[in-house]
Amino acid sequence: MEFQLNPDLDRKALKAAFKKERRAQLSDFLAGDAAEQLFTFIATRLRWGLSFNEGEKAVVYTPDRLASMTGRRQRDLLQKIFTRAQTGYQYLYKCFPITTDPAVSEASGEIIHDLLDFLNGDDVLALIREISGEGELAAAEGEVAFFAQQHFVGRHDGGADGGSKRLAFELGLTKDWRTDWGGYLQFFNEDGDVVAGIPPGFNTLTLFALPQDHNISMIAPFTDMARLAISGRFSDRPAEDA
Amino acid sequence: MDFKLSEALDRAALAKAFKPAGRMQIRDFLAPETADALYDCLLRDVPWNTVYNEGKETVVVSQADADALSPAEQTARSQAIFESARTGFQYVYRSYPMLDAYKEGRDPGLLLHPFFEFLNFGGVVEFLREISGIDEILKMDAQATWYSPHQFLTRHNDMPRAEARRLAYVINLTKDWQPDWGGYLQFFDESGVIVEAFMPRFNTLNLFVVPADHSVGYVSAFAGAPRLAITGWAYDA
Repeated sequence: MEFQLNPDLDRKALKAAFKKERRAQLSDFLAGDAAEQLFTFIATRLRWGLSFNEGEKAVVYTPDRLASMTGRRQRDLLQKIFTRAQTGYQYLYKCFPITTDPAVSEASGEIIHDLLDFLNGDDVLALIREISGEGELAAAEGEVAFFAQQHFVGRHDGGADGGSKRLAFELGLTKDWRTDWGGYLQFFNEDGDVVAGIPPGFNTLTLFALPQDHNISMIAPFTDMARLAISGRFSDRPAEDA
Repeated sequence: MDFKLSEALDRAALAKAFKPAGRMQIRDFLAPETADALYDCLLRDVPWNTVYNEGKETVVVSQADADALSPAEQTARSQAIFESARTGFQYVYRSYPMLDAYKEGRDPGLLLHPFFEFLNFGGVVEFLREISGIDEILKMDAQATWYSPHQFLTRHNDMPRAEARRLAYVINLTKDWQPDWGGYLQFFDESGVIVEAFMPRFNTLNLFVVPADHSVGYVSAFAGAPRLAITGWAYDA
């Protein structure tokens, strides 16, 4: 499927906002009904793995492994993650990687593959370079993220990889969210107060400079709705070299 | 106990900082001995009730009654609270009603009673007038609060009984909080964006003009400390 940018984005205003805040929100990012099609595919067709960290090690359980876990083993895993989260950096959510790996991209279906091409295409990279002032941006990589009850990403600055990752993005694909369900993309000052918190949205691309302290607040246990998003980074070099 | 405000408060500078947004978090609000004594009282001495709402009604459960519930009953109650929170206004936390307890002479010797007098007659009302510029403020009510994991106060604006309420305040007495534990005092614009949120922080006065859309965020399962505060409103009548 062919993705296109919303032609009416106010690039000047976005550039000004980004310069001032080191972040910007691009509403109605995808033109036409592309976001709807993406949403339908993601919500109904993807098989999810589980993404979390053990200290500095990123762990991804495949969909098969996740599906084969007993309820008790899932609860034990959650308890271990919560114990680590009390004192250290921790994240937990369901994911589907977007990569050029043929085995993965075959399973992900054409639409995800096309989205990756679109994000790495001239139109998007030129737009992101223009808004951010980062003239060297060359590549996007990312994943589809599904936050359910009790999922979260701890506060971190996203800048730990040595400098080629310039910007983080999140394309919200979440509908009918309520404030109190949590799952906000929150930005912090150095004291730990929140200076801005962006609710899960639909077809809004949030772009922010790295490093920048942020988290995704825990999803409350009183929603069974999914916080869906495509999230990732824009880097100076093609993803496979980074 | 001789309660005192901190000697370091620069009232003119605080008033200036408060004005643009009508909210702020003031650090080192109470004299250190006052804050420490209140912290110890909240942590050890207060006979807490759990409070939550069923629609517009407040349900108060004493610690003894809460302890008497079977695990199945506790789970059922939590699930009913969560189910209601899914779509409507909901709160659940531990509380001690300082105004009512003071008036009724409950729990003699509890440090919160003289502190309630300090709030109303010890110079705090005058302090709030100076910072907010609202000269009509006459009195304050108060409750002590303790939020544990899974507790929260959903978004609301304090309007229903807001006529005489001019300011809301939270004297936060939480120690060693971490950002990912939740429990922030969050302020929203009309579209649901968080425009600012204050971390629970020991010996701070969090102050804001009402009505204002705000909430206490869901406290994570892994929060490693109680979120302690003395909170209420300042009234002009």
